[in-house]
Amino acid sequence: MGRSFFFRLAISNIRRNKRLVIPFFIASVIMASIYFMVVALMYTDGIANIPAGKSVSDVFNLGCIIMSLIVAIFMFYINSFLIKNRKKEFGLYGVLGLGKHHVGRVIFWENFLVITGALLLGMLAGTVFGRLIFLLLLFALKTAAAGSIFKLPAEAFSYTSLLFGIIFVLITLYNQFQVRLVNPVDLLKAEQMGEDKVRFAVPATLLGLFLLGLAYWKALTVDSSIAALKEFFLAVIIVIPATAILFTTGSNLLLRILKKNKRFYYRSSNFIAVSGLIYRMKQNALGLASICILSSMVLVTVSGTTALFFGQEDILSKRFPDDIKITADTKITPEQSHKLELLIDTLAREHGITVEDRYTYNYIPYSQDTLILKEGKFSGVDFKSWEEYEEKYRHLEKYMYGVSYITLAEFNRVTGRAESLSAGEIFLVTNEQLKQVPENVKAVIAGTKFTTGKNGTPYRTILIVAADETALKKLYTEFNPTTRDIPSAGMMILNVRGNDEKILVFARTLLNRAREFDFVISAGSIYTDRIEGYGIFGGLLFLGAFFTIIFLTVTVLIIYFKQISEGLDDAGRFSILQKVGMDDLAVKRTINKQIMIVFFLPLFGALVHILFAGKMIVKMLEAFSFYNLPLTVLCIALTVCFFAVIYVFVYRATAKVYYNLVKW
Amino acid sequence: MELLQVKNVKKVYRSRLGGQQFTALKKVNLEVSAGEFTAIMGPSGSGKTTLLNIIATLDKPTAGDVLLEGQSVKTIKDRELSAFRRKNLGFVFQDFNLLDTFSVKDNILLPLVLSDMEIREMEARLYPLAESLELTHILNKFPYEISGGEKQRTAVARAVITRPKLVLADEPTGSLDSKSAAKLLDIFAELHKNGQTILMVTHSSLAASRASRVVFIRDGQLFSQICRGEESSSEFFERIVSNLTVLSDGGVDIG
Repeated sequence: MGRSFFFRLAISNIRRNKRLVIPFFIASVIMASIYFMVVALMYTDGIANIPAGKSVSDVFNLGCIIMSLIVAIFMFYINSFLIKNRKKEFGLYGVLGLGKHHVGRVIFWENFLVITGALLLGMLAGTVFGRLIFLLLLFALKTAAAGSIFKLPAEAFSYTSLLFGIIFVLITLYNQFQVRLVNPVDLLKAEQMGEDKVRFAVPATLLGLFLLGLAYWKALTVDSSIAALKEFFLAVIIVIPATAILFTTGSNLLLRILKKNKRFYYRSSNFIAVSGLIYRMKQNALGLASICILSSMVLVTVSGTTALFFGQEDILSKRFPDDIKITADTKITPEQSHKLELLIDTLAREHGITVEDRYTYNYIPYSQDTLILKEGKFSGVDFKSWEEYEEKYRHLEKYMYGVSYITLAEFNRVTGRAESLSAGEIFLVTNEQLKQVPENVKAVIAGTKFTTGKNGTPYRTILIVAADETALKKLYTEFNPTTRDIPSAGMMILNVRGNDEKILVFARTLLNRAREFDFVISAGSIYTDRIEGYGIFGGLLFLGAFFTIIFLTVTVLIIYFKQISEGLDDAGRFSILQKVGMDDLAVKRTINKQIMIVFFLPLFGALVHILFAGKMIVKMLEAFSFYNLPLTVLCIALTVCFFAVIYVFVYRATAKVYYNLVKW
Repeated sequence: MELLQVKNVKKVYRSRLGGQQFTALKKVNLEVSAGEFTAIMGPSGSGKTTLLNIIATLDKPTAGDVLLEGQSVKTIKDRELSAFRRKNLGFVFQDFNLLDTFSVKDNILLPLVLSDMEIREMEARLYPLAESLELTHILNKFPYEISGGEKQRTAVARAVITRPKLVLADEPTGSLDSKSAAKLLDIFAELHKNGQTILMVTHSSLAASRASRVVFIRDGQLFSQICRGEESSSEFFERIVSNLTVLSDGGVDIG
């Protein structure tokens, strides 16, 4: 038998199995094109030219690695569904006298044709849509840089080809192995139907409930952003097996309990539904659990990235209440201040920028420590290890503030006020609503330059104003007993006005030049960070969207394959029920009910997961200095709605295929 | 009055595009009295399964009518047909048609559950029936766990648990080994003795020889019929075989 024979057989197989192969092919094309676009966006010169190019490229770099893995795993996973549906066919070849190595060659050609075709078409689609995506990305990054032209990098072609080459080898080997594993008679035999006894159902379900409860409890009790970042991964690790157990054993146990109740079970409305669901859940539980987990991941990723993207300004205004800040790790002397001012004036003139406001002050900054203000008393935070912090302070985080110290003279100079303090008295300068303050606080002052900047208010900070230097130092040592050296720092604040593009260039140059002074320890501006931020979060948003498309594609395919294999089984069951005397409307209704339950269970599970993960998402976003709760909630809600709509849409589309199979 | 009357039933199949026509039944008249065990025999393609499906209301005649206890099935609305089948007819098929998602017990109870019967009443009917059909020990097993003979006995139990007026059997021994087939026929004979009306389509002369009357059908028409009278099964078997020889004179293979 020549090669052309196997080749022709492969072609006719693909044609005959188009109901299975075409969806697989489409999914492969989608994955190939998305992978292609991610690599293209990562390497294209166009990205490198835009202001935030570096950070966008970094984000895509990371995304690319994850995406390679995910695409490979998912292709493998959908392939296993495909091959399961075709086992009977391979058994038939065996009976007809084709050796297993012959079948192997057919499989080789089939995979070769499908994957090569998908790769080529995917790269074509990537080339076409890549440009559009690139323009969208520029729009999202709020840059319309003139030099940014999308050029297809060679890496996009080579990387995508390499990945799909590897996938091809993996899938072909797996399929060969599947065919070799079983003998023809077994292949021909229909799968064993009905239900086997599920072992250890009760303890397993209890374990699943316990794990889920544990994960939910962890998610609900998380009270700091650092803990959220740390424990989110742990919670995900717990939720995955919990979901799998509950979908498999838990559903089975629940249905069995329903079945045990004779009065409930032996009713015409429940009888067929319950036993049908037991069968369906047993066949589908793992697939459904994976859909549920994938959906949850999509929801978390998308709601997180959209919140970050749209909440960017919020983060920025917290970090930069004023446009530009230049910090020194010592007091800034009048000469140093003068040098800076000179530089600023020169650059401002050069770039046509107006300096609206500028002031310098010296203070004692809060280092890594923060102070706890609880029941009208300040106390320090002192810990040696993370564990110690967790144990002693985690529950106190809502009382913690970043505290810095300034003399009355500096305060009055900057604010232009004429406040006075007697010995031992202090002012607290903050916009926070403090419930109870220490007795020696003369007043809580809000709305000064220190707390109300041009762009916003810093998050949870208190500035303590004491009468003089000595009083300051006394206070500092009181709150930080272990500290030997009292830090001191200077800060120059700058607010500017002018053309955005020009300000950006001005800020860049200023920051770079300022950093050259040896007393300057750091310099930052809202303008440069904004561009960086849009680069990172815009990049993340795009990656999130790409991942969502891949997750959804896989979800749709799993559901589709399940509908097909079930449709064929159901067609038989449907006719038996009719013969036995169930009217076709009732049959339709009960089967419909089962499909709906099975189909929407993962969505329901995902929604519950998200509901409990909500607090954790909020806390995790706080790690990015994002504190806009309403926006976070809105992003989660919109993502969930959007996802649910797509899900329903997918259901309708695949249900149509199913009904055609059952021929109603 | 006869329990079942088939009057001038004609069935013509058209291919989907309307071009080809195939006449499965030309003009069939058949009457079955209550308590009768009738076998319908005929070569492949003679129309016997079509006839059974029409009697079973699974198919509709092109012309003619079927009356059960004098009621024309034509007058029954489509929506009520399934309930009609459930109440009046019991089915036994060659390939058993058991639902693989149900245990043996639930398969048997299926028609009663569909009629929303009380569970106590259902079980009161089930246990004696299962005992007599030797199904008690496998009631909680699933169809894929039991033998062909057991599957068919389950199907018989499902057919008779509703106490139907008429049991329709389509090649009930077709998928069974000889021992299981004999056992099944014993069960049919036992049901018949207890007054159950049975109409069975079969290829097997041995199966037909257990009936009280055999109707031969060929090319969509009744060809002849013979009644057992006082004969034993084996004498009746001889007569059936000789009748089949006559029937196959035209070179038709009886199988």
